[in-house]
Amino acid sequence: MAERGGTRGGFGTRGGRGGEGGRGRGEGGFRGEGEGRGRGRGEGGRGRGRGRRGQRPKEDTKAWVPVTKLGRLVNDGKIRTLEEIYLFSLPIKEADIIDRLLPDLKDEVLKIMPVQKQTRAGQRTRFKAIVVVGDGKGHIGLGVKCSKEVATAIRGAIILAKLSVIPVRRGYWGNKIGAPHTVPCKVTGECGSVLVRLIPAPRGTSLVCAPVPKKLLQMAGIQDCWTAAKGCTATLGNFAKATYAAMAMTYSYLTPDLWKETVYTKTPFQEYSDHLANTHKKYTVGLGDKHYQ
Amino acid sequence: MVLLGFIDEPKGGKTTNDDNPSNWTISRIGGQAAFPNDTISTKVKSSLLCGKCQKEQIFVCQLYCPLDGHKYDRAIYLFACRNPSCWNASNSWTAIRCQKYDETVEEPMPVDIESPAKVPLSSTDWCDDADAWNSDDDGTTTTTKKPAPVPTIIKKEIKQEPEVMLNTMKIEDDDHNNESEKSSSDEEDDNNNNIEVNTKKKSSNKNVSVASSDAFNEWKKTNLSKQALNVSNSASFPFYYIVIDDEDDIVDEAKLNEKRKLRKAMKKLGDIDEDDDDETTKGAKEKYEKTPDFEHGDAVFHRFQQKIRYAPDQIIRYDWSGHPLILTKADENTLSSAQKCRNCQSSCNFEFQLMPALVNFLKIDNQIGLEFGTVFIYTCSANCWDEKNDLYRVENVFVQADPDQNLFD
Repeated sequence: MAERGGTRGGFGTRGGRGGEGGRGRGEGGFRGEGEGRGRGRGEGGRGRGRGRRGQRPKEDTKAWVPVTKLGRLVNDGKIRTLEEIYLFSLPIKEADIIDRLLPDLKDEVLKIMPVQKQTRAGQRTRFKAIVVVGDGKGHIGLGVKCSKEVATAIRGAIILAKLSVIPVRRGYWGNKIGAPHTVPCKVTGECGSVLVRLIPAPRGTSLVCAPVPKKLLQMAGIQDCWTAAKGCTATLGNFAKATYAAMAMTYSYLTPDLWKETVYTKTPFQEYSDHLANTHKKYTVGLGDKHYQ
Repeated sequence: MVLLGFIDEPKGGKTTNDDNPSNWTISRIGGQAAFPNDTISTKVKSSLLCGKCQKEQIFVCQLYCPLDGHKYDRAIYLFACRNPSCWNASNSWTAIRCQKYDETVEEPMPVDIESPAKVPLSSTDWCDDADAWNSDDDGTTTTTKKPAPVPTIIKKEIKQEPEVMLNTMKIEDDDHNNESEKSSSDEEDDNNNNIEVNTKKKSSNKNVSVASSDAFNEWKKTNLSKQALNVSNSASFPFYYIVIDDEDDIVDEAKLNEKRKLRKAMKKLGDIDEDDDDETTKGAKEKYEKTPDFEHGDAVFHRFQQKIRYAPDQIIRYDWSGHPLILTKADENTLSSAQKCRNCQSSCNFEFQLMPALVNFLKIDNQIGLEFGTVFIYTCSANCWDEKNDLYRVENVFVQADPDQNLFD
């Protein structure tokens, strides 16, 4: 294993002068100390652990250590596709899960803009970053993060975008030849005053829309689409979110080919049908039981 | 002042002689418990039974944690039940505390060496930086203060950052709150905390759709097959040492590395020109948006994650008489039951907790052998001990399950 900084030995409230950086004598009972770091609480003196030095791995070589149960399952390979998580309705709380399940995910910064908030001491400027992630194969995520520094905002927005990855259903405009290339039906999404409508288009139309939704649709893997937008589309945050909402609707829409979906679990009536039949008999005696449901 | 424990492979490192695994004064995970003397191990077996299923418990870890001002060598041992139906239950865990009087301990000496060294650094630091206010050249500010492995100087470097950052961003900002980046990120954290408190739990009341639950049950049967507990008493978890580090230092170092990386990333991004979009966004100025940091709705877990994000592989979090870092909402009543000492009836306080990352290392035959969310250990605040009669004392354990455990059951 890579090496870490730190010592073995003991935990505790006692300070000690443990070894660090090769200066250790192997005797540093590490009780919350280190060298030359004034704890400021009167810890000092000699620690007593009999420890050996170990060292922590450097930043770059850190592998993902899952913290949630879902993360552990993904790490072990028990869950292989993101679709399983969607199917089982499990909440995704770690962004590394998405990294593992969608290795070819690309991210792009749509915009970074300064926003100002009025405080008593004048104006506070923060940076808002809008990031879209997608793999071009039916997954899209959108993250918006506001922060005092640009880079922190971008990083935070990427993590938020990964946590909000959603499947996008693609369909056909006419003949069902080849792979799906457009939205399955007309869907609309709203955010703020912006309304975005996605309309199926024939193959070869390419994306007929403004640059912002174009970026989103491209990253989702939709090749042809007509769009209509309403409202103040200059507010990029709302525009992007409205498009994202429209794409989310594709899997919420009940199309005719989904009418026949079989229900796998027994309804409670079926399971306890014997019991119900017995109880029913009492009430329908004398009423002609055939015609009552 | 929180100490963090990390996994350390047993046969690694620079020293050639391995620590003796039977040395009871070293913190470790797995293998067999090492007691101060052998009579303890035989006598303690009777109390090492699961409170739920009465089976024998397996040794999880031991921590060597002597207390300040105490002349005792002190260690705490943790045992848990491997039975899958007993996971995540507080009464299937047992914590044992053993102490041994040690004459050789000296009283702690006041730390004179470190604290004076620190004060002049902070007071002159500001004065040095004051000269560099108008300097546009990054080189002068960084070459005068060479980074050194001693962490106190790392703190200085952080204070220099504002000049560098402000220069690259080209803002005329009078806001003095931007001065110290360390406080700025902390402030952001505080703001995030304020935001989190107000958000509702979105997923708390959602029902799993009927159609997919059967598919989920099938998947659970194949993948989460909890093997019948073949009670092979010789089974034990793989052996690791625990390496200990201070949380503050790790966090500082990690923040520094993060800033470096982000600065590199920003250079690739190029200059952000804030004023060019004024033409396009006429009358449509983007507003400051209070976006919640998460969509999954679990505010408590998000706070937990934020706390450990600089060292996510930590397995032990030691904070004597501190506060536990909760993973899910903890009911005050249930927690208070863990706060009374069994032996002397005085109150217990929190000592340390096991973190979820530890579950990855508790494997038997490459299968997860024990699961939990996080485990809090509460020990007697008076550290009661009868020198003549006592071999060990039992302490209180409180277990929190993974936040989504109910979905997997």
